[in-house]
Amino acid sequence: MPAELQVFLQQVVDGIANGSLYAAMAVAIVLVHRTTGVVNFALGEMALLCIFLAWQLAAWGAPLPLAIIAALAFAFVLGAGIERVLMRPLRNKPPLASAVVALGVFLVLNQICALIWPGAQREFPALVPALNFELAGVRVGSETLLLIAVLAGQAAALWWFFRHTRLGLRMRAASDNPESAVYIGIEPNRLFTLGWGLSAIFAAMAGILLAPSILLTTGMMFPILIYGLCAATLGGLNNPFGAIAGGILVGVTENLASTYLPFIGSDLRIAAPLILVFIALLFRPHGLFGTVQAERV
Amino acid sequence: MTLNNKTIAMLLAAAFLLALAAPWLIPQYRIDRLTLALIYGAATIGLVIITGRAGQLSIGHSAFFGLGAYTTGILLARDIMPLPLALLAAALAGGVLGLVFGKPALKLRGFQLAIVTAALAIVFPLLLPRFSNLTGGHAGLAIPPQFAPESWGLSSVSWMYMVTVVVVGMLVFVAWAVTRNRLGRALDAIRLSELTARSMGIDVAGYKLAAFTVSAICAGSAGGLYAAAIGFIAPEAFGLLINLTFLAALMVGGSRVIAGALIGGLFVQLVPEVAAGLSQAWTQLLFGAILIVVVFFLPGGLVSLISIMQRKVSRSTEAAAATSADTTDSD
Repeated sequence: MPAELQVFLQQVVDGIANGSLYAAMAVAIVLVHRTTGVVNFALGEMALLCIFLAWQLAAWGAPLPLAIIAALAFAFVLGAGIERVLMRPLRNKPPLASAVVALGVFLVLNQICALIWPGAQREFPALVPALNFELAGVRVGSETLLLIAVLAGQAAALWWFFRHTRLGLRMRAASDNPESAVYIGIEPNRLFTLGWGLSAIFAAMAGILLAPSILLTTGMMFPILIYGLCAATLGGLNNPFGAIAGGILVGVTENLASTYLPFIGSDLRIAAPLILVFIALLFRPHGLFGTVQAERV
Repeated sequence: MTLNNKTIAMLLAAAFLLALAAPWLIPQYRIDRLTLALIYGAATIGLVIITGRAGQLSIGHSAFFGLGAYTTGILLARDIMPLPLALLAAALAGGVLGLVFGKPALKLRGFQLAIVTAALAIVFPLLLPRFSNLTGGHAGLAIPPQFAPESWGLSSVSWMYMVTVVVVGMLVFVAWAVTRNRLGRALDAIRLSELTARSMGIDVAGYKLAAFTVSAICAGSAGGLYAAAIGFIAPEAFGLLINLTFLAALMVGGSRVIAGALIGGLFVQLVPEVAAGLSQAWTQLLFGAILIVVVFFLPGGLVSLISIMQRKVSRSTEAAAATSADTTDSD
C-alpha cells in the first residue's frame, strides 16, 4: 500500500476513535435537547465531576469497574437532580433562562472540581491493557478498539431503547407532544428527569473513556463539550443517530484538517470542526440529519 | 412618583457630570477599577441590545471586544493615530466584523446561533498568534500609557477614566436612541416570536443584523478602551470565559435595560474586588452561583429592584391617601 494512503487511513481510524468520544457527548446533548429543548452546556463539567469521583474511588482502593459503575450511578443522580431542581421550574420561561442557568452550573461544577482536586498530577488507570494490532499498515490500539466497541454498543442500546422498549417509546411520545402524552397516561415530567439522568451517563462515559489517555485537569472536558456540540449541531439537535454520525465526522475532519491543511496545523485543530459546522449550518440550518419542526405561534 | 422624560434627562446629565468629576472625589487607586467597570458595562450594552432585547444569545462578543482591543492597541503602540481616532477605529472594526459575521450567522436561531458565536469566540484568540508581527503573538502587546494635554494636569489613570466616561456616555446615548423607537419595538417582537414578527411585516433579518452590528460596535469600542486603559493585551484575555463575565453582567444588571448593563459591569468588577481574599476558583464559583440565583429570584436583574420599590412606595402612598380620605369622610 502506498505510504500516503497509509497515513490517510491512520488519520481516519484515529479520527473515528476520537470521534466516538464526541459522539457519546453529542448523544448526551441530544437526549436532553430532544426531551426538554435545553442545550446543556454543563454536561462536560458534569462528566468531569464523575471522572474525578471514579478516580478518587479507585485511588482509595476500590476496584476500577466498581469505581466506574459508582461514578455512572452518580452521573444519573446528578443529571436527574439538576433537571428536577433547576430546569423544571424554567420549563415555560424563555430559553435564555435555562441556557444561563446551564452556564452557571458549568462554572460551579468546574470550580468545585478545581477546589477539591487542584493541580494536574492525577493519572486515571488504563481501562484495557495496552496492545497494538496492525492491519494493512494501520496501527489500531486496544484503546481505540474499546472506544469503537463502546460507541457501537451505545448506538445499539439507543436504537433498542427508543424502538423496542415501552419506556423508550413513552419518552419519544413525551418529548414529541407532552400535552397529548398526558392523555394516554404518560407523565412527561418523570420521563424528562429520566432523560437528563441518561444523558449524564452518556457524558460521563465519554469522560471516563477519555480519562486514561491524559492527565486529569479541570479543563479536560471543555474541548469534548465543544466537539460534542459541533457533532450534535451537525447531526441535527433532535436525532441521536445523527449525533453519532456527526461525532465521527467531527473526529475525522479534525484529524484530516490538521494533517493536510498547512494553515490549520496543531494549534488551530479545534477550529476545523467549528468552521465545518458553520458552513454546514448555512446550507442545512437543522443539521445534516435533523428534521424540520413545524413552528406554532 | 412617576418620572417624566425631562426629569430622567436631567438626572442622566447630572449622573454624567458626577461621573466626570469622580477623579477629584475618589482616591486615585480606585479610579482604574471604575474605568474597568465602565468598560465591562459598555460591552454589556451590546448584549442588552442583541440578547436582552432581540433574544439572540451570543457567546461570541469576546471576538468583537478583542478585535477592538487589538485595533486600538496596534494603532497606539505604533503611534499611527491619536487615542480618539484609534477608539473610533476599534468601534468600526467591531462593527464591520459584526456585520460580516452576522450576515450569515443570524440565519440561525437560538442555540445554533449560540454555538456559532461560541465558535467565533474560540477561533479568534487562536488566530492572533498567526499575525504575531502585528499582534505580538503569545507574548502580548504593550501599549504606551495615554496622557491628557499637558496643561490639564491629569494623571494617565484619571485621563483614561474620563475618556471612558465620555465614550460610554456616547454608547449609552446611541444604544438608547436606536432602541427607543421602531428598532426597539421590532426587536421586542422578534424576541417574543420571530414568526409572528415576520407575519406582521417586520424585516426580521434586517433588524437582527442591524442590532447585531450595533452591539458589535459597542463591544469593539469597549475593547478599544480596554487596550488603552490596561496598557497590555494578550490572546488569553479574549477567550470564551470573558463572555460569561459579560453574560453575568447582563443578567445581574437587568437584561433589557441599558442602565442595567452599567450596573452589571460595576457588579462583575466589584465582586472579585470585594472577594479579594478569595482565590480565583471561589470567585468563579461565586459567578456561577450568581448566574443561577439571579435567573431564579431576580429575573429582571438589579434594575428591576427600582421598579419593585417604586410600586411598593406608590402602593403605600395610595394606602395612606385612602386612609386619610376615610378619616375626612368620617368627619
